[in-house]
Amino acid sequence: MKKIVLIVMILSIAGTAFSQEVVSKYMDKYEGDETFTKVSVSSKMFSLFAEMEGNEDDEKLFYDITSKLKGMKVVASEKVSNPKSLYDGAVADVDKAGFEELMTVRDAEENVKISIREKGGIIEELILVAGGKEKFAMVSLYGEIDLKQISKLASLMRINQLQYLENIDTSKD
Amino acid sequence: MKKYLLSVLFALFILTSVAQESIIKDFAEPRRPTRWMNPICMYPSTLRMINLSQDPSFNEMVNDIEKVLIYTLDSATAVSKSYKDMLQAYEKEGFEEYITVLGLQEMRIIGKEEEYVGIAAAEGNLIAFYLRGNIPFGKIPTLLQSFQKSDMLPLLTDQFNFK
Repeated sequence: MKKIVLIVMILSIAGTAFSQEVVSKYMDKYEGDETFTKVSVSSKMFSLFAEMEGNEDDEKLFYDITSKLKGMKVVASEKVSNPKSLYDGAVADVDKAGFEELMTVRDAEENVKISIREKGGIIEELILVAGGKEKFAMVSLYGEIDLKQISKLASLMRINQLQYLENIDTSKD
Repeated sequence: MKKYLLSVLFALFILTSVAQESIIKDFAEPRRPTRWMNPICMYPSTLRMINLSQDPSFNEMVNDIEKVLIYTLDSATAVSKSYKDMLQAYEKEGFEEYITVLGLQEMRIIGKEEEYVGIAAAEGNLIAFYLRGNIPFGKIPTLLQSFQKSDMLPLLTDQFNFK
């Protein structure tokens, strides 16, 4: 029994450590490159939202969604010399890490791929990779993710890189 | 005995608060751009005073803030990024990451219980701040929007060229 508990504990720790690894790798890679914006919002920040009570509907919804999140990481650049290879490389890394495709958008302007990792029916991490003519973005949201709520969060936060999430609530049914 | 213990605990609490505040003071004081550029030190009453348009949501936000210290740091510190040493000193005291933004503009906020320390750097300007108290972070985006719409906080926006 003790052994089983230990194995479960080790597996859950390994799972947590593995989470966010893909985007963290890109954050480390471009750490000294100022043309890349790197954003990291920790679980401490999201836990603050959990303690708040909003007055308006939007505020309440925002606190409700973010209280279930454990973090967010963003790596983005508006001017990259090799957006296609960067996008392809990032998508390959996400696939390799065991994420399953949720949605892909391809048009003349840019390619976007949203992938998720589920455990026990709960989405634990969502990664968005976007590549345009000169742009590249990679966003990771982790914690307990409700797709319907995430699309609302994307419209509430008005962050460029999250705009693609606004349509995902209809894509996984 | 109880009284004695209580006094010791109270003294320890005060000393710890001062110690946490002293890290930023020790770091920032010698790195001010000019001798006469003093740090801005604000309490709830002074924070309400700079709210020129008397926006009630601003006053509500600053209600639980005990103290804010804002230092403008010199360009050498901005270039060398030696403020990382100050943040590391706080991390050794148990302060943890809240938010980090790196790139052309930089912002870092770390915190422990009801104390927050951070830096903000943009276009060669660098500020370091220390905040003690509670602040509803979720309301900050809304407030920033109201700053842009009104003439609120010209003191800060002029001083740090954050317009």
